[in-house]
Amino acid sequence: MSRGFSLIEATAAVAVISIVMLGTSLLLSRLPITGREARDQDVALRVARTRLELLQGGGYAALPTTTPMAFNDSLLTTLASSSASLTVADYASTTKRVDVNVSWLGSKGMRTITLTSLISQSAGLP
Amino acid sequence: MNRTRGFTLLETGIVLGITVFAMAALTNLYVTFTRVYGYEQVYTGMAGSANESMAAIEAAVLPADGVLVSHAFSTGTFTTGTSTLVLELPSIDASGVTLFGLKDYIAIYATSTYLMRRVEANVQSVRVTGTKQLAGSLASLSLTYDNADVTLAKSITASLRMNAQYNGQTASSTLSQVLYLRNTP
Repeated sequence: MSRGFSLIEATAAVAVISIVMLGTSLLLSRLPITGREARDQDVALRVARTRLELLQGGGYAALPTTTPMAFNDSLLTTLASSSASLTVADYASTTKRVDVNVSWLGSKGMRTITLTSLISQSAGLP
Repeated sequence: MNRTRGFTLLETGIVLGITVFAMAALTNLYVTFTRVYGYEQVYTGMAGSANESMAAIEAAVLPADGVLVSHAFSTGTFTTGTSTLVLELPSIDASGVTLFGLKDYIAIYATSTYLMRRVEANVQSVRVTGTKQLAGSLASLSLTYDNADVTLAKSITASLRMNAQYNGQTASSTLSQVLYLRNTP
């Protein structure tokens, strides 16, 4: 006997199509977020590198003594709820360890990157 | 109930309605996807070329002997300023060994929306003489020096901004970095 689709079959088909479309939309909505995350991380890394470059350029004697110390950078305004700080600690008798932290608000809460370098009394940039 | 019959008007209407709704949703998905993807592509390309440009500036600055006030290149004379940087670098051979007394010259400069790099290398140097376009969507380039006499400069602050257009939307990318010369006498 010839018959059409039952209501159950039709509903199941619509449900399957809906799930596929929902999946595609979710994927689509992640695309700009992923791109933004990558760019933010790049900017944060650049801020930290510039600070390390300045500290190395300034030399051992000019390292700040009261840390953690917050610092500013023109690029920080391009990151959401961002802050930056650096910590100086004794590493050896004439060498100090510098940690530079940059935090910002990502899509899944606060994110932080840290760059570490050693700055020695005897060596530095010319 | 064994007679054959067609759809009623109500049934046809409902089916038509659902189909139209599904088509509209699909079209919307397609349009949104195209727009988001196109924008991301433009933005990523621009951010990439901003990064490449900054890397090229860094690669020229770090090994430089110093900044020159100006230098006569075969394509014209470049004078260091806020949008032009003229550097003198020690020539190096293929294994990276410095060739004493020989110099290469690099100028990084902005012309309208282009960021350009001119290299003039000594014949024995591994660097290649030529002009290269580093970026094509430059909005602004700002170079500042830590000394009013640029020949004594030990660090350079490079800031660049790039703009790209997509469907009337403007995407812009700003980068800024402090670079210390590693080879100053």
